[in-house]
Amino acid sequence: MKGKSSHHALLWLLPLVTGVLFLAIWALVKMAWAFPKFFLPFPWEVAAAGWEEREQLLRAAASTMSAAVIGFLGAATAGGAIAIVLASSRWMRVAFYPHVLIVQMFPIVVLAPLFVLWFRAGIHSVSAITFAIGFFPVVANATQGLISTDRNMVDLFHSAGASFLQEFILLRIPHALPYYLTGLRISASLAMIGAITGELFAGSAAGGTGGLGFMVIVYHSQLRTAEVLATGFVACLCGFVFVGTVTALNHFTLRRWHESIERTDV
Amino acid sequence: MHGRNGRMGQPSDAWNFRQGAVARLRARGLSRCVRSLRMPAPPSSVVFHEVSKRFDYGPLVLERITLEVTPGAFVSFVGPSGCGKSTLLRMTCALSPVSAGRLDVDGRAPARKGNQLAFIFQEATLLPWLTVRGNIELPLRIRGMAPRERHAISEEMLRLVRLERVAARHPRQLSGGMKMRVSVARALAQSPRLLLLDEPFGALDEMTRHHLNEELADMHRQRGWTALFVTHSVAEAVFLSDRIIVMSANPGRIHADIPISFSGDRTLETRDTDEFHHTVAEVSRILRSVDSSA
Repeated sequence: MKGKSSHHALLWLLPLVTGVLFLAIWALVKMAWAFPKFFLPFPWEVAAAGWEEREQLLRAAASTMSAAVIGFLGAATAGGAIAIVLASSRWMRVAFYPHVLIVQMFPIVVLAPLFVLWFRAGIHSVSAITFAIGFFPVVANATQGLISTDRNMVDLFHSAGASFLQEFILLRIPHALPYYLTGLRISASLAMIGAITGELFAGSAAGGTGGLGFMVIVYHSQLRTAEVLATGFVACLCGFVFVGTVTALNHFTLRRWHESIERTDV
Repeated sequence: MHGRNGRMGQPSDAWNFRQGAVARLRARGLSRCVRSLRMPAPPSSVVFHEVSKRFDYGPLVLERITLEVTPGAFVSFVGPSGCGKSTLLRMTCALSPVSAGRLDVDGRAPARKGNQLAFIFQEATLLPWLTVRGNIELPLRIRGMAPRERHAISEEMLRLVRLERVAARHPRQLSGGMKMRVSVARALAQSPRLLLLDEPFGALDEMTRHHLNEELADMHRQRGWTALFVTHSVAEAVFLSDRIIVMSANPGRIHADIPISFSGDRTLETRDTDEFHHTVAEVSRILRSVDSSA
């Protein structure tokens, strides 16, 4: 029991210690080379800048999160639907999978101005860019899950006289769920990056505050490096919340039956 | 053999089992389930007539297999790896087409839809996201049976394989032997006329295997389906079967057709009899002659 609690404490303490160590090295480097504040601020200057700009940053984070959530949900829905179409037959995959790859390979710097042109600057374009970045991992993982069902299980369904639809609903979709959720986790980690990247191209302060990407442009143009870094940490925090939510969903959905979720009561 | 009377005019085990199940289901007002249990379909007959099998343009896997399996028989197939034993089963349930010859199940070519057979695979093949009960009910769900009727049948099956206490568990919480019993229960829930078993106990330890052998023999005695059983264990085949088909490989052919008959029911004690040991030795000798001639 004692060993278990000390192990638990270590899980929290170790990252905390390494984090403090990292901040100390950062401060030492700044002092050793006497970098100016616009080049590299002290960690506490970043914290102070974040606190001073908290209202602006919170509003920006809410705006970025909204775009990230819309883009992510679009990627999750459309990615799942496209995977079902692709997995429905080999010929579908032959016909459409290369085009899915082309969309993924298309440089985002080319797509972004087009999205701004089509949807105008603001949340629509940012969400579209987030979608474009996040939908491929969902499609690739879910398709893999749908087509890699155990041969004996498929035979079981065939010998029981199951229809194509029954096989899909009762076997292939539940089997693909862990793969799909892995795709969602990757997509979630890309969603915040996608939204901030989108805001660099299509961010807008119209109707209030722009998102975190827009704030980065503003702060950077004024050489307020501490504020830029503070914005980065807020984005990190949002990313953790985002990925944490999807990981919790993954755990909740698979906890009873999937090997990836460790259980101690078995 | 499958009627009301067993030996010496006493009610047979199959009759007693059905009567008990009928009484329980009737008490719960499940008339459709009662009808299916009171009037069980007779076991299937299977006829292989000059059946050959070739995959695409590859070599012959099976050559001119001719075999007649009578209703209610328990027939085991033994032979070296690659002799086409599993392919025979897959053809019987239309999972793989016949290349030449004729294969009839109850006088008709095998079909996936509308058949009354069940397949038990080498691995338990349980869906990990379903509970034990959900797995047993799966084929009934595929057939569109109402939840209440499915539930009643799964309860009967859980009782039959003595897994009532773990009905709500998921497969990963079960031992290998329990998983295989769920697999057997799932197959029997379909009230099959023909049961196909492809090395179902191959991955289990010897004690569990012996217990499951005895349970399977008991269930066969109670329910009377026809069984085609593939195994690598001669002792298992002798214990369970009315007849053992010894096959040779490259291509798969029938090398010997050995009738097995023991006096009395098959129990764990059967394995200790001289008759059993003698039969195992005889079948093993024939199997060795296949290996040495290959």
